[in-house]
Amino acid sequence: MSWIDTLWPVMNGASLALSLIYFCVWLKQRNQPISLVVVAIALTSAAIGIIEHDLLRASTPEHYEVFLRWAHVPFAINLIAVIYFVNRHLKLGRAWLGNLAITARLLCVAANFTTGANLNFTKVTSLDRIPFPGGEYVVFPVGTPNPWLVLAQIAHALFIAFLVDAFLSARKIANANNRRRALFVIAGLILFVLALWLWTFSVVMGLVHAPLLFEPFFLLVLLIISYEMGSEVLDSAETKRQLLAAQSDLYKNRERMDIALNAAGVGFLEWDFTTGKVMLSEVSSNALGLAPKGSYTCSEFIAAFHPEDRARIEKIPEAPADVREFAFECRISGSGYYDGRWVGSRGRVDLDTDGSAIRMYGVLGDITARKRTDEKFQLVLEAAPNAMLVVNDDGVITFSNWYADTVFGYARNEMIGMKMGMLILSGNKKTIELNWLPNLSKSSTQVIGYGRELIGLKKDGAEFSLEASFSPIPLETEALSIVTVVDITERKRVEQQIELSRIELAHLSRVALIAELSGSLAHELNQPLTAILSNAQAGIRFMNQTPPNLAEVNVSLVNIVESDKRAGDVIRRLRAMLRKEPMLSKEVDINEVVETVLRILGSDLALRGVEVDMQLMPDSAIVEGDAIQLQQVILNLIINGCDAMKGLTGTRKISIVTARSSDNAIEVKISDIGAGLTTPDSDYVFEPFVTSKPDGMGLGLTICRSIMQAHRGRLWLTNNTERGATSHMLLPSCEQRDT
Amino acid sequence: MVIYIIDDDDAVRTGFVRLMSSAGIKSLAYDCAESFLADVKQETSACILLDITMPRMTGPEVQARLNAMNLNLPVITISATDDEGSRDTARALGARMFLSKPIDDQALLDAIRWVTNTPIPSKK
Repeated sequence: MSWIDTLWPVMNGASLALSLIYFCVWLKQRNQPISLVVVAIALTSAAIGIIEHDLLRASTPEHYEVFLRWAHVPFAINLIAVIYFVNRHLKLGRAWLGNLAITARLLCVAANFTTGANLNFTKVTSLDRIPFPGGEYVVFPVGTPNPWLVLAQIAHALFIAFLVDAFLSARKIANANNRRRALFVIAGLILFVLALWLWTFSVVMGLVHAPLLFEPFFLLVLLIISYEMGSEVLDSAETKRQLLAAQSDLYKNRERMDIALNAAGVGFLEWDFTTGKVMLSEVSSNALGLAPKGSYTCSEFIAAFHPEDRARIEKIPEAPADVREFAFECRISGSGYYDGRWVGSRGRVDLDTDGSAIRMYGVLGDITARKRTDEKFQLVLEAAPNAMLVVNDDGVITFSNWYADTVFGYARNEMIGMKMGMLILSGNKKTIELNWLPNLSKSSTQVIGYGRELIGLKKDGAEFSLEASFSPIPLETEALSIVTVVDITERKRVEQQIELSRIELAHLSRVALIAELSGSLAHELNQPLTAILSNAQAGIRFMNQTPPNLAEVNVSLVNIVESDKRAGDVIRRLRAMLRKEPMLSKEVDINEVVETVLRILGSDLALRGVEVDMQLMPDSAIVEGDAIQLQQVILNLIINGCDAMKGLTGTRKISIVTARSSDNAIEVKISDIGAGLTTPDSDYVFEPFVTSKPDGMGLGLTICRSIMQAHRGRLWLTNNTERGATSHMLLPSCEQRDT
Repeated sequence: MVIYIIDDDDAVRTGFVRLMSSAGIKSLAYDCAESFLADVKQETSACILLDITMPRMTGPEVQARLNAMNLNLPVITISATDDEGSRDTARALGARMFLSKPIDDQALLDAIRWVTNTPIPSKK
């Protein structure tokens, strides 16, 4: 067998095989008609091959003419299919150009059957033989070219033009791979078509003594197209593989996300504002109380919320352009305020190019438990018997309980959003600086206002005194503080009352002391009165003498005046003791106080038969305080000492010592030699209403101690080592106080 | 006649002295019982004006000392306080009179006359 008889069938077989393959492809993908086109290319290629084979072995010119004539049909179909392929599948080349080429080719076919033997030859006159390599020989035609062949040239030219245009368009393909491939394919097509044109023209015109060969060119065209299709198939297989891999990844990620969301107790939420569809995962739909159908309309979704909260949800699609995130906490429908279920959601908002929101997606979950805790917390604050505010780290009040509303005179929840600095001011009317926050990061409660006047401002502008304490609550999301406010107006009023009562009591006690001394006071006044009477009556007698002894009268009158003054002094001292005035604060010499007291007592001590032994410190003992009150204390202590010695038969002695103590304080010690204290180490005697006197009130020592405390001093009693007891007074000296 | 005046209060004492002098009676004044006892002598007609509200030496002691010195002079007690206690003291002393301050001149002079049985020159 000659190799030509092998080669051509092989080429035909290849074409037929390819046509079968693409037919099967078309069967698989009915929606891809391009496969049919390639089938057509392949089949026509095989047909051309068969005809060509025959033409190479043609025996007679007539045989040659007929077969060549029929060859034009598959020829045309093939070329038209290629144009279709390039234009429709590769989407290259102008359609009108392609259509022109097709029209020209069809005209060729028409001319082929109507003029001459075929399009190429009017008549084939003879068949020459040519030896081919391998000891073969083939036939080539000799004859008169058909003048209508010019149509073929035009058709070829148009075809080439179309392909060139396609080539130029191909250069604009974006994808580098695709571009390369397209350029290669088109270039190949151009090449082979050109070659075909030139060869057939040359042979027909007798320029080349060679057989008409077109099948190789058609086969090459077919191969090129197959290459293109194959690449596409490979590409799509690769894409499909990647897609499958991606899908698998996606699926895995979805699974992971579902697990994570489920573990967190939240579900997925996606709301497409343009379509109005809402996607919810099962956890989300459960939280909202909706049936788990996955996809919901916008109205179904909104209806799941509590009527009062729906407005907030509806506003989300209208979020302003710069809002990229959303978050909300709302009640779901079918629940009341305290027993309802709450859902919380947060996520992102996708924006369109013009800034309007097109979609939101995020997580949504049931937050009822947390809300209950919040509510419990609020209930606890509500029930507290103190005014309590919750303040965030900007100093803004986020919650006020009922008591706080009452204290500040606002309506329920009216204070929320106000700055705390507008309600609580420091004593000099400046607002409290809120840089106390860094200090409160150590979580300890600080009482601010203790010992410092804070002023509260009520809604009606009234001011009141208050004490405030701040307790920080560190949370991960924000720093809050609980502020407890106590209106101390009443307390201050009571404190003032107590002070007044204290002054009253000290006064009454002084009066009682004076009453105790009434005997000696009477005596004190009686002496000058006696002297006055004696002098006056003596004066009268002197006046009645003849002659009247005016000198003696004069002396008598002078004595009267002196005694009167003396009496006046007694009255003055008495008045001083009986005055009820708030405590003075002046420099007082304790030594002088002791001496004044002894003058007040005067003959009282003599009446009681008591001797006084005074040992006053040589330098002055200055303390700061009220002389009258200090006199009261010393007087009281001396009288107590005298009373302690009432039952004594022998000498009764009181000793009074003033001295400077080791740390520069002033000490006064009043000692007696009476029975002493029964309970020397306790402060029992300082308790009110404790007395050993039958008619005593028992307030003397209590008041003395309170006077000493008001003077920043101390008072205590001890038993002497021998007989009696000693009262100790300790007062800070003026110099000591200054340091 | 001599009146011994014993009172620790200067003004009172001087007053009494002036009063006696205006009545023409001689008086000797002492501010404490010790100085009086050191000075006292038996007189034919004398009496003692003793303030029994003085500290230190009390009335009964004075009386005891007088007895010890065998001086028998009538005592008029004067007191700044007029209460049971003072009167008891006076009685215990065996005082002939008890006067409480302030003392009226006529009352005093009458008392002196009575205890000394001496007529007092009347006022002119």
